[in-house]
Amino acid sequence: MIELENVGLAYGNGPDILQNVYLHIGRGDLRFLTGASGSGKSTLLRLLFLALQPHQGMARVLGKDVASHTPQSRARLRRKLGVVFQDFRLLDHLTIFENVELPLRAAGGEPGKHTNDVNDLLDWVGLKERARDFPNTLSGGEKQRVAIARAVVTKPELILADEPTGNVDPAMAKRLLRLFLELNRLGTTVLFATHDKHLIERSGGQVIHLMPGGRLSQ
Amino acid sequence: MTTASKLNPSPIFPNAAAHLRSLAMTMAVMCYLAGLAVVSLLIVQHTARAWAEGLSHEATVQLQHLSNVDEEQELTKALALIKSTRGVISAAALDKSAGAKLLEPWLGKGVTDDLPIPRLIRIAIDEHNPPDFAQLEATLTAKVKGVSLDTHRRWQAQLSRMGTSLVFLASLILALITLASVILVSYTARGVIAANTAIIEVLELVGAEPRFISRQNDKQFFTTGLFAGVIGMFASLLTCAAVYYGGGFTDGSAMDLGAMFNFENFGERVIAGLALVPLLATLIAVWVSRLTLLQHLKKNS
Repeated sequence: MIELENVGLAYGNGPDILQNVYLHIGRGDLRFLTGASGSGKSTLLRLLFLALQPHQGMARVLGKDVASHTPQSRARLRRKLGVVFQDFRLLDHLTIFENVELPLRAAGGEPGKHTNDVNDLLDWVGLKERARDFPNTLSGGEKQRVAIARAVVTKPELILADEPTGNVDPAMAKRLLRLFLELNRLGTTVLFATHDKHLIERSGGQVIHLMPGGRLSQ
Repeated sequence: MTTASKLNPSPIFPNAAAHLRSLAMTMAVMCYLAGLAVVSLLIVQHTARAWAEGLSHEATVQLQHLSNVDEEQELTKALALIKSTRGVISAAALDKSAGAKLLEPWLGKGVTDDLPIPRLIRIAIDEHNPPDFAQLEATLTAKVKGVSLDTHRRWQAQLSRMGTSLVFLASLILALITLASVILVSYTARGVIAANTAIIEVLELVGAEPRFISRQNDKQFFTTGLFAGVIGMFASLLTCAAVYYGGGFTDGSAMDLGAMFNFENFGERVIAGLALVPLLATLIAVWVSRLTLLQHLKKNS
């Protein structure tokens, strides 16, 4: 699913953010990525969702080298990845329904064609009644649930979550974690970056620790 | 929700961006100027051709008034010679009053009665098989007293030069307006892209291909370009109508400009030319903004 071999990554001519990173995550795994602020967690996730390329080593996601993509093949591979961010990244001018439907439209689906799928997902995250509302009327936890629904609407093989509980209270964090655990039980591979040790202890997933200087310990 | 989503999905790039409103207004002005330039170009082309064609169909023979010469006899002799020349379709002598009438606007009425006004013969020429003007002139000069032949070739050449220059100028103005529009759309597209950066990032994250993103962008600029083009076209059409109907082009006065421009047969071409303005504006808006967006996506990938 994810294979990193001796990966090094830097922004421009700056210092290495990731150094000699080796990582193997298999199909159906659940892994937590931890590390201090600035240790490179977000950079590692950006590499895995194909926004960056390593200057050293080899990085394969879903069996394909991240450096070998064309814009088209990168877009097609991203449809098999679900990405969730701490800051939600919802589009405020679209309704909640349209936000969740967006990946399907981007994949060439007609608007309104997958209504049942979208409604089922909104039901799953407990927001079916808010489908017509706009994101700016939601709380942080509700926004993150919409973002999770959007991430999984294309039934991705791998979910990359970058501090998804960072902007919500502990109760909501637990509720969000349950959604990820449920997805993992259904066979989706999940890589979940977080600072929250209690959350990790509650889940029982394996931890990957990113140390300052961008080295991994598993 | 279902019905609303199917019937009226929200545009992925919001249409109400301030950049697009400014672009629509500025492009409408550009299209208005382009419309006027197109009409001017067509008028100049049409008029120059009409004048040149009119002159090439005809030639004029002039008989000077000479004392001790029987004018009518010389006129008859000249007419006979002209009519027997190959390439002449017809020839007719204008009566004395017709010659006097031509001078009246400059000299005033009644003044011409005592003047030795030359007699004129109007010759209609077969365009495809024109006469040998040098030979005709030599024959007339040898056999008719006080005669001269005007083939209008000098006027024709000057008109042609003037027409070509004016067409060049109008084309240049049109090209500059097009260039200014391209630059304008390019700058606006950058502004729109900057305003939509977050949306573009999300689209890329959820697996949208550059083609899909560019299609969303096209929709915005298509609407803006078409709207600006139609407004500009109608404004220029109204201006032309106001100049035509309000400027004395229809009442036969002002040197009968209406007839000179031959507007009656000309309207269809003007409308066809103006209809090109919104098409061109839409094409420029969509094409330039798409190139700008694709460049941006390529740079960021």
